[in-house]
Amino acid sequence: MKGELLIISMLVILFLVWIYFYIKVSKRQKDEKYLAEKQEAEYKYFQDLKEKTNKQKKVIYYKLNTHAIKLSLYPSSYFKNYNMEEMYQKIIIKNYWLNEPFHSEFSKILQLIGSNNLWINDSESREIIMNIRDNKDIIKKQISTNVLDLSEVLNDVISKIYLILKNKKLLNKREIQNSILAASIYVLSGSGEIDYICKSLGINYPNQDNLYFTLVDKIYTSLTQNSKQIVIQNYFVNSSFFKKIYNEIIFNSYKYPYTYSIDASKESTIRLLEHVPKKQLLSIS
Amino acid sequence: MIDEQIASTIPTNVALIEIPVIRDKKISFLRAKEYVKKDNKSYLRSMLILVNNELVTTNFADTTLLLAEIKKFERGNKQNFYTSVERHNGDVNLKLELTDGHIYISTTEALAIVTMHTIALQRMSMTRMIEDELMLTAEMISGYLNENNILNKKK
Repeated sequence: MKGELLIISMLVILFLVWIYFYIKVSKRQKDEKYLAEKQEAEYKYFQDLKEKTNKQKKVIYYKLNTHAIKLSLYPSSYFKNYNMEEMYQKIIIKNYWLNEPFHSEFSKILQLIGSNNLWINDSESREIIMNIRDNKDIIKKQISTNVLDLSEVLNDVISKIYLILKNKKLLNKREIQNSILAASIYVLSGSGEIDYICKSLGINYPNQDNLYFTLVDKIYTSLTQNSKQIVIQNYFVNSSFFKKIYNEIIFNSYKYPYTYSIDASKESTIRLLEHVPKKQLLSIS
Repeated sequence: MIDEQIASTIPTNVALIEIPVIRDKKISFLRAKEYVKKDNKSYLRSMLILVNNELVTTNFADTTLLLAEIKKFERGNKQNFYTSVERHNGDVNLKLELTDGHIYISTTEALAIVTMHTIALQRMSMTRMIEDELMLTAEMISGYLNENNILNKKK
C-alpha cells in the first residue's frame, strides 16, 4: 500500500509541475502575440496619420487678401491742378493722414489755390506799362511783369517743411499737421491777388499783421476756436523758419511772364470754396 | 505753302534788343530782331520806344509818329498826339505825357534821339518791316521781355 501511495503522490507532483510549466509557456506566448499585435497596430496608425497629413497639405488652399484697400478720399478732379493733386498724394495718402478736420481743411485750401491759378509778385522784376493797340486801333494799357506760380511754391515749401519736421522725430503727428496748415496760409498771404481774395471772402483788407489771423478764421471754418489758436501759435513759433524756406524757394523758382490790364478789377474773378464734393471710396495703387 | 505763311507772320526766333538813347531820362529804343538761320541773316521786324517803365509805342507806325513830333519840335501844334510844346522863360521844351508823371525833352536831346534813330535803321532792309510788320500783342511782348532779361531790375 505504501508503494502505491508513493507512486500516486509522485504522479500528482509531476502533474502539478507540468501544469505550472504549461501555464508559464502559454502566458509567454500570449504576451508575445499581444506585443506583436500592438506593434502592428501602432505601425498602421502612424502610417495612416502620415498619409493623412500628406493628403491635407495637398488639399488645403489658403486664400490671400489680395483685393485693393479702399479709403474715403476726395476725387482727383476736385483739385484742378496737377501740383495740388501731387501734394494731396504726397501728404495725405502716403501717410494715411485721414483724420478730420485736417483732411478736409487741407484739401479745401489746395482746391482754393488750384482752381484760381494764383501768382506771387517777383520782387526783383520791374513793371512795364504797355500802350497796345487792339484790332480796332484803340489804345489799351497793360502791365507786364515776372511772376511766380503760387502752386509750385506751395508744393516746394510744404514738402520741404514736412521733410525737415519728420526727420527731427521730436514732433507729434498733430503738430506737423498744424504747422503744415500754418505754412499754407503763410504762402497764400504772399499772393499778388490777395486783395481780390479778401474781397470775395468778405474781409475788409487789414494790415499785414492782422491779415494772417483773418485768413485762418475765414478759411479753416470747421476747426474749433481752440485749434485755430494752435495754428496761429504755430505761425508765431515758426515764422522765421517759414520765412527762411520761403525766400530760399522763391529765389530759385522759375519766373513766368505775366500781363494784366491796369484796371484789373474787371478781370478779377476768383472762385472761392466751391461746393465740396462727397468723399468717395477709392483704391490706391 | 501755308506753313511758310505762318512762319513769316509768327516768328519764333525774335529777340528784343534795348538801345539806350538818353540815359538821364531813361529813354531807349527796343528793336525786335528776327534771326533767320536758313539765310544766315537778321531782319528788323518792329521798333518800340521805352521811357522809364513805360512802352510809349508798340508798333512802327506809332514810333515814326513820335519821332516826327520830336523832329518838328516847336513847330508842332495842339494836334500832337504824344507831346505838347511848353515855353518857360524863353526855353522851349517838349512835354511827353506818361501814365504816371511826364518828362521834358530839350532841343539837344531831341536832336540826339533823331540821330540815334537814323543810326539804328542804317543798313537794315525795311521791306520786311513795312510789308508784314510783327504786330506785337501784350503776351508776346511780355514773353520776349522775359526771355531777354529786360524785366530784371538793374542794381
